[in-house]
Amino acid sequence: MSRKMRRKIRSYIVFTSLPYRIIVYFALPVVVAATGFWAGTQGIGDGGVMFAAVLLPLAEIISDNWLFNGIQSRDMAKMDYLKTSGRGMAVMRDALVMDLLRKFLTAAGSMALCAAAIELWKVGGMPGAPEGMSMGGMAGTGIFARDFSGIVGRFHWVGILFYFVLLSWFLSVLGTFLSRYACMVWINMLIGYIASILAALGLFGIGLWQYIWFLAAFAGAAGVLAGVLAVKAAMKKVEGGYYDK
Amino acid sequence: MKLLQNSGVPIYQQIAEQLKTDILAGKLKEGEYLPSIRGLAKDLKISVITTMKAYELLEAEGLVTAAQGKGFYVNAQDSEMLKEQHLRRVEEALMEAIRAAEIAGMTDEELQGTLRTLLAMNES
Amino acid sequence: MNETLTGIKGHSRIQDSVITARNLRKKYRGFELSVPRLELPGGFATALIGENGAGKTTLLNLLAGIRLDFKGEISYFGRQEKGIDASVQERIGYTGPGSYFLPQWTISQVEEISQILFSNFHKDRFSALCGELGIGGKSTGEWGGFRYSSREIKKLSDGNRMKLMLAAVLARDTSLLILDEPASPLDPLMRDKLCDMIRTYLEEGDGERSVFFSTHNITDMENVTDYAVIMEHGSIVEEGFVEDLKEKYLLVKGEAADAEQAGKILFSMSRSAYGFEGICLAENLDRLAGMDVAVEAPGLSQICVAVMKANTRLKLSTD
Repeated sequence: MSRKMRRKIRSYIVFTSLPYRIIVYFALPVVVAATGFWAGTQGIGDGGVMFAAVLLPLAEIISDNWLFNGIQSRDMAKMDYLKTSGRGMAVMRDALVMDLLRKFLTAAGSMALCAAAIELWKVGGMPGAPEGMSMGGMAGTGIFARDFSGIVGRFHWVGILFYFVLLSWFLSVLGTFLSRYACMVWINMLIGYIASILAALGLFGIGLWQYIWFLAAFAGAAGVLAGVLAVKAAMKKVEGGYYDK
Repeated sequence: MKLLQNSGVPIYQQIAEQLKTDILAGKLKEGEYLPSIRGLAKDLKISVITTMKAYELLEAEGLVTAAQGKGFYVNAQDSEMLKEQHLRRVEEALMEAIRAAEIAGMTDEELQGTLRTLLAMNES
Repeated sequence: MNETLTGIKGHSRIQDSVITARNLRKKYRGFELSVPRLELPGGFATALIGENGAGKTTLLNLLAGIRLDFKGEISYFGRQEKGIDASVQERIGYTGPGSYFLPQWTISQVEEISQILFSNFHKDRFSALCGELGIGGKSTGEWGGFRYSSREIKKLSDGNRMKLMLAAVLARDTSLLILDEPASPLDPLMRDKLCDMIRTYLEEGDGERSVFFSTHNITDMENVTDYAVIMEHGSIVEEGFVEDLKEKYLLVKGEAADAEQAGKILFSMSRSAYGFEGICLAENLDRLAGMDVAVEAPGLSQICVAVMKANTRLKLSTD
């Protein structure tokens, strides 16, 4: 890894407190993946990943309260200490960007972990899987959630995974972006729940499984856009302190 | 060093006075450096400028010399000048006594008598 | 009147000024800062004194480089280049009353962040300072050290937040400290310690380090003030080395009968049935001839109050 990259990563890590590091870097992906896996073993197979995709934005948006809480709000974001250093603004920007990257890695990692765990479990012969059990037809699509990989084929199943990851990431980014205008934890929770509901609704997108790669790219682009907005808004606020804005 | 905050005598004068006493008494010897200005300020819990002014006062009186970047060192004390200095102190103290005597309404004879008595007491 | 109020400039003690500012102007709604000339003496502690709203914070913000839109020029440490850059910032430690750290940071995060923000930050010194100031260290029980350093800044009292800022700037090798109202949130014991810290900082620098701090309560900081800059309504109305100011002004006390007459040349006067007391310029002392007055050197706070009152009066009469 280049020194530049290492420095960027370090800039991000110092913005996170020790409890945040333990909980969000390590505990969160494991818990999310485990929940999805558990759901998968309850008869929906690969569909368990959907649980991970729905849970993640909620967890990310609430935990952002301990990271960049209120950074875009009216009076919190002057951060004079950063301004007294020539590197302050670069550190801030790096931290914001790396946070977006970390959120993506967390989404990809936890869902990959979840999908892999379910896969392994299936290879092991689905012990205790109720025969013919399903979450029911996904409304309007006719596709059973029970086992995507069997229904849509490998190529599209990977596309669906990508779609889940990017959709979940996009909503995490959008939700944290919006929540940073406020400094109260209940607002993060509210936005978190809304984002989770939107994620759940977005999952219906798999009905268009033929176009799933297109949808994934769309979610990814939306995520990038929300990310750019988030970084710009925060930087504008912090740098604005130099100019009484 | 003892400094009185509310004695009416400016702090810098008190410092200069006490250093002067040390120099005249030979406690601070020729060529010896005075404590650094900022070090003394720190130890006495006073501002740098006050110590600096005290040192400048001593310099003006010819007791110390400023060495560029090294601080102030004690000059060789001219014995004539030393005596002069001591004499001045005696005069000052006596002047004060005279003023006090005036307020007390003592006559010159009474004052002289008191001085003689004190001298005798000091000798015995 | 104004002419006599300009400071003692070009004094021999100013060898190098640590900050030189020219024609500083900064406008806010209903307020204008205007400083045609400011030179901070190097190697000393300078106090910026003024009422709330006099423009102290604005001036310090401009000098510390955390407000960049203003008119005028500032040069630092005798450099030819104007303005602030990273190398200058590295040598300045600033603490301020506004949003300084992110409230959700913990004390250990402040340590980590400082390490990447400043290459002259010493981790060990920071922990030692935190311990010394009672905001860290491992003294309070088994979990004491851990619990404290993982404590969030928003849960610290104003006094402890001030101490943390001081620890962060003093843990660096700087040549100038700009401290905005460092004493206000501190208790009397800590104010005394703050003065000690400033004196130690100056001593360690041996003339190469300077401190510029603001205060509206000069008595607490009088024993650590070498040079005083007094502000009123966005302008500097008086400045000079404290010992020089104490010679420039006199504290005059007199009988009630002379109060009316003396009032004409005194800056600020308080009178009672028994007599009056006020500050005048030493050069005007002869105008008190014939009155039965006692004269002594005023304290810095008495000078400041007198100068501020005089300028408020001026302001009112010209408005």
